[in-house]
Amino acid sequence: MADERDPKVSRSYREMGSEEPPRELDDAILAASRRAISRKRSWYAPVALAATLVLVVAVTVQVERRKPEEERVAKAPEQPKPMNAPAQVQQERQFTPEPPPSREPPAPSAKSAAPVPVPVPAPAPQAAEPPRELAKSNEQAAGARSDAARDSASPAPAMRREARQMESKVETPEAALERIAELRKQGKQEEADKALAEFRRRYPGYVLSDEMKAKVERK
Amino acid sequence: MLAYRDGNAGAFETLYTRHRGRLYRFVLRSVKARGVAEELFQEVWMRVIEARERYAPQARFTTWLYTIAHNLLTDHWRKKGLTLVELDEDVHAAAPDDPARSAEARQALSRFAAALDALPPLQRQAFLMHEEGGLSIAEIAAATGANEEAAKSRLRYAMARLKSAVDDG
Repeated sequence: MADERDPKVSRSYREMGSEEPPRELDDAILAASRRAISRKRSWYAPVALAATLVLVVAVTVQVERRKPEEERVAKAPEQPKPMNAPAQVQQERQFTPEPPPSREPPAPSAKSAAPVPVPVPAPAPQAAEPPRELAKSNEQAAGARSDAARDSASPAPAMRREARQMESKVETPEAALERIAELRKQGKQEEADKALAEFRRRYPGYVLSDEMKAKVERK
Repeated sequence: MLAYRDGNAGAFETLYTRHRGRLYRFVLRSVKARGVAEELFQEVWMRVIEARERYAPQARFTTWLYTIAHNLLTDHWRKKGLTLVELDEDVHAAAPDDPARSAEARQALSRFAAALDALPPLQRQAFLMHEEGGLSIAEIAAATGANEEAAKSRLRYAMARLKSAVDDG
């Protein structure tokens, strides 16, 4: 900054005095500055509050809309599988992800109201769902179908289901021995011999107790 | 100013305290009537308050403040039918164009004050901005809407005349 000041001129100028604005003027200006700020804040708080409320309502609605969908997915494996249900319905059920059995929550009261499996044409999937499901929007239903379609693209759910079915068909050694003992009791010695041979082939290392031997071996 | 713009009322008070005396004297010595000076001084600060949302730090706050003051003074002189024309040295060498005002100044102020009072408005503004506001030539040019050469010339003429008044004493 080029300083053009001349010391003599500056000194003379300072000697003129240093007038100040009157105190009332100071107060008026400072009060005006504070009023301007408070005017700005007067709309800020309500707007911030309104924005917060809108956010809370939006999140609540979103959570409520997702709940039925999650419940439906969790309950789907527990639905009885009708003997002659339409193929499409069965297919949709196959695509429904199944939660691990050990982690299933206690059955809700709605479970007891589930229809008893009878050999009649299966109701529509929505009819088997709790009443709450009926209120679900079409959009959510479409979302569920698209989820199912995604699952169908992956072989994992089908493989898991098959594995579970296989497990249910496989007899435990104890159950097999009980069955053989029952055959002996009924006098079906041939069948019992075959079953025992099959048992020994399947469980070569299984040690039979004396009591069990007496039950399952031919006397 | 940015802090005040963002809602800090204390920041305005700091700014005001820093500039109030210098700006007040700048306005008072430009118009020479205390009532008018107070009115204009208040108006300058009202403009600052109103313009806080639009304030962008493109220049020093001081330059911006004196730009507002200059614009208000220009409006004031226009309303009073005074024009801000450049006066050459010969014209200035003559007695001030308002004898009554000069007489009032002579009574109230020293010889120097009379010389200052006698300066053409634009030269006096340039001197006051430099002396009170601490503005550089470039900042005076920006505040008064002139180019730097014009600002420098005004300041140089003002200094020469005031120095002459001091030396004559």
